[in-house]
Amino acid sequence: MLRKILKKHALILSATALVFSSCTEDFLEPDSLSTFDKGYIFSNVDDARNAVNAIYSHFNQDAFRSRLSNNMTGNTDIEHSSGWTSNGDRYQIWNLEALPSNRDLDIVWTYGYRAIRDANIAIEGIKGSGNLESNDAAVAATFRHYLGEAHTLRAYWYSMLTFYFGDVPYVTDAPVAGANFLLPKTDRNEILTHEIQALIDVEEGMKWADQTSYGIEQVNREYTLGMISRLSLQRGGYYLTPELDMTRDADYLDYYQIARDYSAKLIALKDRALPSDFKQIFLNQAKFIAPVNDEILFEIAFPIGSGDVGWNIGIDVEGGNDALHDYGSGNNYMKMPMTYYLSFDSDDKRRQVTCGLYKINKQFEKEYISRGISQAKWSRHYLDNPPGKSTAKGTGINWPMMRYADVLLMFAEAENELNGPTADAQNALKRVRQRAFPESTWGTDVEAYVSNAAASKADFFNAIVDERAWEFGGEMIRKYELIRWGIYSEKVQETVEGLKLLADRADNTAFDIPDYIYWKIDESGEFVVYNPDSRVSAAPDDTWTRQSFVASLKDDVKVYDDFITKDWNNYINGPKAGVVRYIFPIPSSAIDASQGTLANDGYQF
Amino acid sequence: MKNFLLNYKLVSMGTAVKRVLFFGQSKTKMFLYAFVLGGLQLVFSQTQVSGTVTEQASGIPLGGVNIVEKGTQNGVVTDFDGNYAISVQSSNSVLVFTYLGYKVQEVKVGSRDQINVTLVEDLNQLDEVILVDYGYGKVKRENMTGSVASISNVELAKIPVSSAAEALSGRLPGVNITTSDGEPGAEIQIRVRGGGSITQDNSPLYVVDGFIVSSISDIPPADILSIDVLKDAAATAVYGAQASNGVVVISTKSPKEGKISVNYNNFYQFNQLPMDRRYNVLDPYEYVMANYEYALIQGETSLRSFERYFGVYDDLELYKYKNGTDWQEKLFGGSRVSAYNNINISGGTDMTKIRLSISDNDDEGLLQGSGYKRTAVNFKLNQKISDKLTFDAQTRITSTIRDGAGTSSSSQLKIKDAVQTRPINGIADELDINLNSVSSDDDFQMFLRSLITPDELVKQDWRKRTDDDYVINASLTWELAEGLNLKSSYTTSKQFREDLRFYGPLTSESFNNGGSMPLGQKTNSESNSYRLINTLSYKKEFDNSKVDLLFGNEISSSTGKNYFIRAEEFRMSITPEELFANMAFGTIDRAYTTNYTPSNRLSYFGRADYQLNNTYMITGTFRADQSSRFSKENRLGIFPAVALGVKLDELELFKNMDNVDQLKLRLSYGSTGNDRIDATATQFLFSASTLRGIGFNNYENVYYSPSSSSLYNPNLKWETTLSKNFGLDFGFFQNKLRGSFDVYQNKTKDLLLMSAIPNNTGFSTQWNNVGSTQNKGVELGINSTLYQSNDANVSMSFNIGRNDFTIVELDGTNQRFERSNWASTDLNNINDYYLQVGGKVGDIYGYVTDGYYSTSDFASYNEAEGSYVLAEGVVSSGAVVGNQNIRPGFMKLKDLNEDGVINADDRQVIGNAIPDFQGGFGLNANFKNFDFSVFFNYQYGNDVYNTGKIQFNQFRRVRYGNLLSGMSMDNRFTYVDVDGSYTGVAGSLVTNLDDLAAMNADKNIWSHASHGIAGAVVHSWAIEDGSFIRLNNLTFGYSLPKNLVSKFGISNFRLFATGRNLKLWTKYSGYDPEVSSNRNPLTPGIDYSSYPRSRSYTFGLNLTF
Repeated sequence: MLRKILKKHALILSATALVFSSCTEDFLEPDSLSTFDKGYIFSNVDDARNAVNAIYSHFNQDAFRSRLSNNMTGNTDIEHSSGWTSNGDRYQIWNLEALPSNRDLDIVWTYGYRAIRDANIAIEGIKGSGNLESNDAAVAATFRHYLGEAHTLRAYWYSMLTFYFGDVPYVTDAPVAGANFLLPKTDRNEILTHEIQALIDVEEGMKWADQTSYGIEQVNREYTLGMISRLSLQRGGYYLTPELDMTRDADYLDYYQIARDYSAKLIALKDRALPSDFKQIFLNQAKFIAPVNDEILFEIAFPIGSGDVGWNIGIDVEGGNDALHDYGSGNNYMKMPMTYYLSFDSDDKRRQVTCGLYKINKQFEKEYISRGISQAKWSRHYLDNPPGKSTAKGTGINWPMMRYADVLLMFAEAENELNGPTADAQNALKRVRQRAFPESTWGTDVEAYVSNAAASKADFFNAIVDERAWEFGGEMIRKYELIRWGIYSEKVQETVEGLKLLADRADNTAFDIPDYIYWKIDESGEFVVYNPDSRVSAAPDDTWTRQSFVASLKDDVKVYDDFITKDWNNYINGPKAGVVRYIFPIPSSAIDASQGTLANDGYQF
Repeated sequence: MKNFLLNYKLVSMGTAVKRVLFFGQSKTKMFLYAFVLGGLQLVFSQTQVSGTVTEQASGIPLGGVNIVEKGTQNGVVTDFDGNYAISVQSSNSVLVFTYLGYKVQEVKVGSRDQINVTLVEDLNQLDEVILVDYGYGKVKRENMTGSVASISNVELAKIPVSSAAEALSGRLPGVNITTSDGEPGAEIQIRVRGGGSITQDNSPLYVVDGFIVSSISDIPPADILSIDVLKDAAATAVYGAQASNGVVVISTKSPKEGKISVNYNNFYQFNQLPMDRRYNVLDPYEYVMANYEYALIQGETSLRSFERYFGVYDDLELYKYKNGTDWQEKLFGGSRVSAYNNINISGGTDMTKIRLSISDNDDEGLLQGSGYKRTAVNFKLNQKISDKLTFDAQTRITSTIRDGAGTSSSSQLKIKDAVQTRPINGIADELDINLNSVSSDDDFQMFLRSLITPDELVKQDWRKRTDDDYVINASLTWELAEGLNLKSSYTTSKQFREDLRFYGPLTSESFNNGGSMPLGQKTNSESNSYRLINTLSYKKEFDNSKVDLLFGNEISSSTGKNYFIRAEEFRMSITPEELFANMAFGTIDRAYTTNYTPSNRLSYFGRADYQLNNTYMITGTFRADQSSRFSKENRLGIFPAVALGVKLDELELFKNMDNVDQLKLRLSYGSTGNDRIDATATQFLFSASTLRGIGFNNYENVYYSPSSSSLYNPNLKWETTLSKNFGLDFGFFQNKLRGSFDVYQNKTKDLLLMSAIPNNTGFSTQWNNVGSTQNKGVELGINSTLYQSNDANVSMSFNIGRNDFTIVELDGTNQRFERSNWASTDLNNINDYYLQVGGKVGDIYGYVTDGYYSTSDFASYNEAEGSYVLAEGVVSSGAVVGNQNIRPGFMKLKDLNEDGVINADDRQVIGNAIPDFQGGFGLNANFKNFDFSVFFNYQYGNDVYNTGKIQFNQFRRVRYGNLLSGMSMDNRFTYVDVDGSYTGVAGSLVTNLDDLAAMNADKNIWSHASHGIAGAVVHSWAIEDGSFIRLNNLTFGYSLPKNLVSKFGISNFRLFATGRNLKLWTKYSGYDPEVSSNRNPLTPGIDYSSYPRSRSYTFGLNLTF
């Protein structure tokens, strides 16, 4: 011991002066095996994959899981919730009177910009890595694809931020110390123009879903092509100015052209038949099946134990420790108005898949639900492995970001806008309707319907507006379309009028509407409604249960149920009548840190 | 050698054993010489004297007493039994007996050959610490040129606390001790002179027995000999980096040679939440009425939901007969017990000395299920290898267990739960409700979940933290030549930390992220550090001057690693203990490992002391630090300092003044540095995580993300503090009045700060060197002996300090805001602290309260719209409070700029959290075997930002919550027609302005319905005067007569009783005004969900064998 110390001592004596001059460098530049610099993480295919995954990780935050993907996308003519019953965060949003302190808005802003940050880091890292020019063709191709993923995800978040906040700071560089972070707002259309161009530039370097590791759970060329069209329609669409006018830029047709060209490009390069079973498309997400070259182009992959689909999105399931099933609990925030349910053609197979009229009770029985029509495309009771009696969130069910039917309808819409209801446009619409109806009724429901709609450009446009409602109900993209079409207030007004009319006519036998419906569980265990569209005085036999339907829209005390008069009131009689103030204030956190470069000016905030 | 010995004048100065350490070497040397010389002198001497030295009070023999023949270098030391033998030159020789803590005794030999001496304890100077460890060396306090505040073990011994830092509260001028709250084991913040730096870690540097350590919480007070706080650059500059916030130097007790002593100390402490500090809340009837009124105003849906849970209005009277739950009582009530035991043994020979101390604490916290347990073992060895070589070693092993998650930021339980949780559950009290079932109705489910009682929640919000710390020090001192010493010391420390966190099914963590089933997280972290210091020192005395030189280098490094595992989906019945013993029962959700980046430092330092005529002193120090935390170009920091001292009492002018015993003037100027930033703050690095990763193939995929939530900055450089100090140490009237006075100015530039940046960068903060601040202040500490006799002694102490913390420069701007973030973005406006160039730190910024809207502020009531129309010229606060449906009786804010709108521009500075002055005073007394001490600490002129006052008087994010009793119907503006006398229908909403005016003629506060559900506003009403005086400590002790206990081999047997925090005089309405919930130095004085401070009664004993 002593000798050791002495030895050390002697060593130190001589070492102090000399040794440090040589080993000081290492000693003063220590590092950890647990951290990596940018050069390293973009040096190879595997690590760069993890770096790109960072951009996706923000989808697994509440900001997206329950908020942006769902709650915040109301209210429209087909999905709504009552914002006036409370002044909690999500209620403020439904009621279009969110405060700058609203936490839901804050997390969307925060995580949106974090995703953009990670995308910018990836873009810069990939470009600077030299791997795009790698001699190994496989490496270069993979990096080109990563670059496409990063650009596409960044474009997605900018699309969302501009929809929610209008003009926002436009950040396209990875954060670097010393840069000016106090960015003013950039015009939303300028942002979109750049993002669209960036996608056009990278799209051809990307891989199709069937060439990637994670297929449709990962951004792929199909989705990017679709996003070029979707962003172009947003860019060419209407938007709300700070003066509360709905307007669109003079060059809007240029963007319809891009939307048409790129949807056409996808159709030309990677066409596929629409899968015939509409229900299966969404059932796949609950069954953790993700087929490539199928309907869904890209979906958000929630890991098992994460995600809110089946918790606040989907068929109501009553669970808990006293339940007789192990699926846990779930319900939905966004409901579908009866006008939407009744707008479907009786033969339309999509209605039953889209509109949930039943819930799963604690006995694991299907039972009529009286609290409103739910988003039936998903449910936790579709899961193969019941997650447990007391579970609520975290089903792992995936969430669709874009479907092929959307691409067909975007093509039809853009083509119509540019060239009128051409055969190509009609054909695209037909393909979507063919899947929706039994072949036996194609004569009327597809051929006659479409040729009727093709009578004029305006008629065809209206047909597209309707078709998208039926096709994408519950998928929470309606809001963005109503905005870009400039018909947001008009459509919700129609909805309120429609609901009032239904209520008025509920007792009036002159109108053939289902004041009461009769339901039962058939031999195959399916929930069936005897008279979804018509007034009947009695059920054919006593296996059917009667339930107040249209009649429930009014009660004895008031003429109309509160939700009819209040849910959309601010969408009709907002700060400016007839204009939906869909833009929300920039969160306090952003204003406060901006040192005066950002302000919530305009929009009558 | 000769000079050295000659100069060895031991002044009896109390039990400062530290002196032994310093002089240990010379003393043993002296022993040897005495031995040799004594032997030689045998030949020539005339007289041989022997005898025994005993203690007067107990009659116990004293070993290790120094005996010197006056005027010579001839001396010996008593053996274990107090015996000595010495040869003296003649019968005229005088023997000087000195022993630590005892009065010096001089005895003329005369014709005697047997001289037995009894030494008397010197109570007068018991608290005087004369040696100060001022950085790699020690100096007599009287020769110190820097500013130091000290406390000795004698004072410490009278304060039965488990933590040394806690005992310092209010005792040292310029040293501010705050606990973030009253949780047992809560980290104690020590601030020296305001703490110049504004980085998050603003604590001083801790040096224990010459070794730099990261914390002093593992040192039991019983082991402490003295604590010195070095306050100015003259004293601290030699520590360079880290020293800008002052240095706290602790010396632990060292073994004494020759005498084996065994000490046992024990106490039991009973803690409770002081009754007079509790919040008073509404009784059940008032509670139900407040919620009824709230629902009535909110509208029909709310009213229906209220009725569903509490019944219709006509039935509400029944709640008058209900007893509500007192949640504060449930959570914090009752008496909690703490026990403390300490035993130490020390002794040895002149070659080998050891000391072993074992301490054990077992504290129950005020909050149910919380507690603190600690066992500390401290072992010290002092081994002389040869007369040139000395080896010292020390080992400290500490094991700490903290139970409970507290009420602070990471806990699920908040003080809000104790105050605002409903005292009754309405109809639900009569129903059997399954808490684990989730209803499909959103609101009902919210209600069910909120039914979770706080005491149930606190059980499920389970946490256990276990720390095991090992510190090993070794040093070797080699005397190369006379006065030339080479010392090399090595410290290594290792800390193992286990943090077990359990979330039961009722916690929001389980609900949101754990499938509503129990889950557990286990974090094991290990940190290790080492430090190697080599110093070469040279001391030389000339005829009338002294030189003391020191040169050294230091290498230090600290790093660690971390292992985290989280498993979910355990069966409902599992207990936390069972879970962590069997994590295999669950599903692994996450597991990861991290190696920390080491923080390394390489330093060179030097110091030169020169003293002339024992009157003039000059000290020069420099230090060069290279820190791995900075990038290469900014790595080196150089910190010089110079100090002057003059002992005025040695000058002719004062020499003749009888009453001036000591008068020393000190002047110093110097700089210190700060590098407390993250180890990788200058680099953009990434780390791997799976937390909330994307679910490719159904599992959470790994991803790289920035390793820090704060954006890197490669240009960071040292933060530097320039400090100036002027001081005066004095002793008057035979040192009966002693003290120090200091004036200082510390200017800190290039402040290292995590500054807010726009979140569109993806980050919300970035490390920066921002602006500069200044701490300026005065300090005075006085000790005075009021009365002294053989069996009685009364002394008092007093200290006061004032510190002004101002902003000298900001990053190019003239003003800037900081945030306390207590209510996050709910707060209007989130920027609630204000910094202005030239202004003081601690300015609270907000609106000015203007009472409430009276009925005359309104023009009319619009029946159809259900809204009130404000009169011409009356401005609405609606936008600020988050409730635009303004009514009479709603809270009103001032339109300061009179622009007709109340918005963020109508804010101003509404208070300042920095006290005008603070300090403490106390009295110590002994009478025969009784001792008594009392100590008060105080603070004056500061404001406390009482967030509870805001939160607990409204329903911010609380459903069916309770309110403070100040919001009763007699006090607040009400709208309910209780008996129907206004509207004809009992329980209806009164809307008529005249009726409201009549109903609310003599109300004194606004309605709790004033605010929106998320509306939190900081306004002047919530800023309260935080001045206080606290009866901090009151102790009675009784020592059994020594002649009685000595029969049992006991030398000291003392019983004592102590009361702590017995009384608080303050106007503050929250739990305690001595609070700072936020660690950010720029947002001081905020009280947010702080765990209450207990009042305690202690009974204990001290036993020495």
